[in-house]
Amino acid sequence: MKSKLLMIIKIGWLSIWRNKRRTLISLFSILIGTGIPTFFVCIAWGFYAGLVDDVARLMAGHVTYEHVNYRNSPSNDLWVDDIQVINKSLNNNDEVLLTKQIVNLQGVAHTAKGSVGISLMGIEPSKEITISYLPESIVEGEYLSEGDGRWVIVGSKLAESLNVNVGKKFVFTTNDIKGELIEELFRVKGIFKTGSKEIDGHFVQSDIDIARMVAGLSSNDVSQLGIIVKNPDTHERFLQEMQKTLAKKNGVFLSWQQIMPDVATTIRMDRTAISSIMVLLVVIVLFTMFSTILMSTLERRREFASLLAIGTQPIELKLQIFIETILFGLIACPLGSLLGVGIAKWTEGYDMMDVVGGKAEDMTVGGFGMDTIITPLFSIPLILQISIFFFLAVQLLSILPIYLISRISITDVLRST
Amino acid sequence: MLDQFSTMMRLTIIATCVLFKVFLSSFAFASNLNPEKILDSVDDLYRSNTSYGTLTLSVTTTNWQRTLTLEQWSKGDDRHLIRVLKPKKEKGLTTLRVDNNVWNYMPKVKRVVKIPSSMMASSWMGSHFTNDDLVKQSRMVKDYTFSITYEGEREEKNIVEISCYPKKDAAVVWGKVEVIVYRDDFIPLHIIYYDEDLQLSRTLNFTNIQMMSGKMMPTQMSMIPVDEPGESTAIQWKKIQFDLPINDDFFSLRNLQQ
Amino acid sequence: MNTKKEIVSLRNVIKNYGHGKVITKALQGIELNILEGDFSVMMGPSGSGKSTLLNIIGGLDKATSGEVNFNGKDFNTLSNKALSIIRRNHIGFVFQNYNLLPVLTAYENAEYVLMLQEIPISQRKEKVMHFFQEMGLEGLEHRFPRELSGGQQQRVAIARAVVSDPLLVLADEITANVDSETAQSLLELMETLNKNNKTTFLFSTHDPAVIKFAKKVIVLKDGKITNEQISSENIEKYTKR
Repeated sequence: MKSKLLMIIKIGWLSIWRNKRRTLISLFSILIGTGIPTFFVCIAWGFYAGLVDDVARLMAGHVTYEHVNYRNSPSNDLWVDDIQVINKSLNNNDEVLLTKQIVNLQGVAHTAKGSVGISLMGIEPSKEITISYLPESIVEGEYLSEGDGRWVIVGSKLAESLNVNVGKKFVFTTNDIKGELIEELFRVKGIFKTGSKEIDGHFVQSDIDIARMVAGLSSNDVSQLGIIVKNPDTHERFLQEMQKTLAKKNGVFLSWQQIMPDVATTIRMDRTAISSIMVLLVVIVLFTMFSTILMSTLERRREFASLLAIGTQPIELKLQIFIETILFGLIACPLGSLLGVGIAKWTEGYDMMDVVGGKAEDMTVGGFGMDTIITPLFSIPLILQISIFFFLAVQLLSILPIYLISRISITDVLRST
Repeated sequence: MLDQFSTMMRLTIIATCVLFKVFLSSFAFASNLNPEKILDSVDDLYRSNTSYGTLTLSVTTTNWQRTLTLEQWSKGDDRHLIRVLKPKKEKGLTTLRVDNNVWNYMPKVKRVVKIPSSMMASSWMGSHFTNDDLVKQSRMVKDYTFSITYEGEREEKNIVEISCYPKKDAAVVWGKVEVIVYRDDFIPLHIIYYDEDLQLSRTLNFTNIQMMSGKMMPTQMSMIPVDEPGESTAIQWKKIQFDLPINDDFFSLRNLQQ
Repeated sequence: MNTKKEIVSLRNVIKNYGHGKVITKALQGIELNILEGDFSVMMGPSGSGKSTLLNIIGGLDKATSGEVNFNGKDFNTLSNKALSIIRRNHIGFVFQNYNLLPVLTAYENAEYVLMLQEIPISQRKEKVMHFFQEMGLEGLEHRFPRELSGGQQQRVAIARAVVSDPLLVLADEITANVDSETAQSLLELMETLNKNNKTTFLFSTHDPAVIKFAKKVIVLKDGKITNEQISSENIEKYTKR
């Protein structure tokens, strides 16, 4: 039994090499069919992972704790009980890298030049420096430090539309927690440029103390508690645990997907688009493969008929054809994965803008700029998934040839010369 | 580019002169005028315990021009009610201001809308005034340091020029405000706003001085922004009465809808 | 003389092709016995039904009616799978075009059926080498079919057919693609196999040279076996292609 199977495998293996050129073309098409999606997925998923992490660190963390009603109306008077107790216990959690206390204020910035709607985020500068990319994005002036008071950092586009430079002032109008209109003066300490229209045009960061003062919050209160976890992949499970064990009655733990649905939706849509393109590519490759496999089967009809005549069981013949496609897949799919991973690895560190052209500013997801430096994500399950998917797709190709062989008429085929 | 440069040069020269004047003022104009008193009188020009009046508001932009006739009530610094009388299309449109809050009542849809803080910098009724201009109740003397920088004849008028510089943390967008009044009665002629770089931003002109309800006052006021050439907003007082008995209840949301 | 074992017996075998009005009567009541050790040659003009008869005896085709008995089994009642197994274990085929597997060596081609029968490797080697020696194929074991001459290929094909000790070897026009000298040696080889191993052969041919080796000649005409004797006068009629 074993030697028979080995023989069938051997015949299958040798049969694929009967037409070397055709086989190489087939292998090449599987290689490309597996390699290109692998490459794209590594690159794209790398971008998303980087983007999500960047945005999470810039904004309200991978997981955010806030008032249950804050999502519906991000009003300054919605803060959560015992936030410092929760903060302390989160900071003692092994899975947590850092927590950031955030006071968010929506309002309008104005100068003599004009007015722009902005979102002011009060943070703890010393923590922010260790986690966020904003301090590195400063192009003029300096990043914040503790006790900076009215000194804030603004985006380059906002600076332009307000016509302010480092050292200049603007007036910020907002409502405090009692709903009273508040006007406060701020001065520009630094100007950052992230490449995102939204962030550069409407985002302002200040020290949390001044934001609390403006909002009328006490020195313990926050709008949000942003949690940066060590492993972003498991943030959902972490969130569930925290919700069960830590959340107060009026507080809720939310994921970055819930906090920034635009980003989540865009990534999801983008992934779907990439997957669709990949599936299309796969179909094209499979189509060329299919004709090859069908041809190579049909031109051996005579051979198959004689094998059947001398007593080969039809199942043994079908197995042989099946093994041929399995061997195709087994050779080409792993090589394709390696090829994709290899190219992705090779492009690591290059700026995508140099490759495709265009402006970094145009690369935004849900309003957030993307880091255009290629940092592929090599997720083994994902790479295997593509490889196995392609492998199985190739196996489907043997169905028709196998069916045709099962219907072969030995006498008819042998009679025709 | 050359144009821009010469403008910059001119403005720099002006700014330098202004600074020079400020420097000189403390020595040169040791007059007996009290700038604080003058600024308060300008702030109080249209304010009284209570007031009632009608006025027209003419807005000229590069694209359109329109005139509204308005009716207004005020009490103290913090209560205001303004209602549109003409044109017919906007008749009944009412703005109520109590303290820092502004509401608009739209008769067509019979709804009251509170102006959120994000809208405070938006134009009020399409004019060159912002909602914030309406709300602004701070007094010059509170937010600015000031001094008399000129006293005497200018354009055949005997005037006093007071230069006001915002205090360090005052929530003021301007870099400097010049208030120019008649020396005799402190009736304002111009209020000139400069941005932080001391470039001219907008000018408020007061003209057509008349006696109204026993008070001499300019009955016409026009706002000319610098960066929108050819545009302006003019206010013309038709009638004004002071110190009428008006209840606080008058400035209520309930009344807004009547 | 002992009665020889009856390997094939056909009783009133009829084979029709087609449906409805257009029916080709390929075989019309064939009566035939093939005994162990036979070296029979089937002759007849093209269309006389030789191939059809060979296919029916070989279990590749089924008779429309009549009895086809192979080694005591009724082919009409067997499934395709059962027929396939009988072919594998008891029938050897030699084709006009050799039909060797091009990807396998001469040795592997001969070994193929033994592998299907799941015979242990030592026995396989012994058997294959035995026949290779007997058939003058020594030294050619590792050659691929494309590296062999037509005659050598046909020898390998014969080796493949006889290596598993079948009850019957069916040889269909095996001399058609080789020159007369090679044909002669192939036939001599098979005659030897018949003598030494008691292998039963049934030939179908147009080649008059084959008849010289025949112990028994079956003449087919219009789907019937005739009693006509083959002589130098009429032989051309049966050997015309």
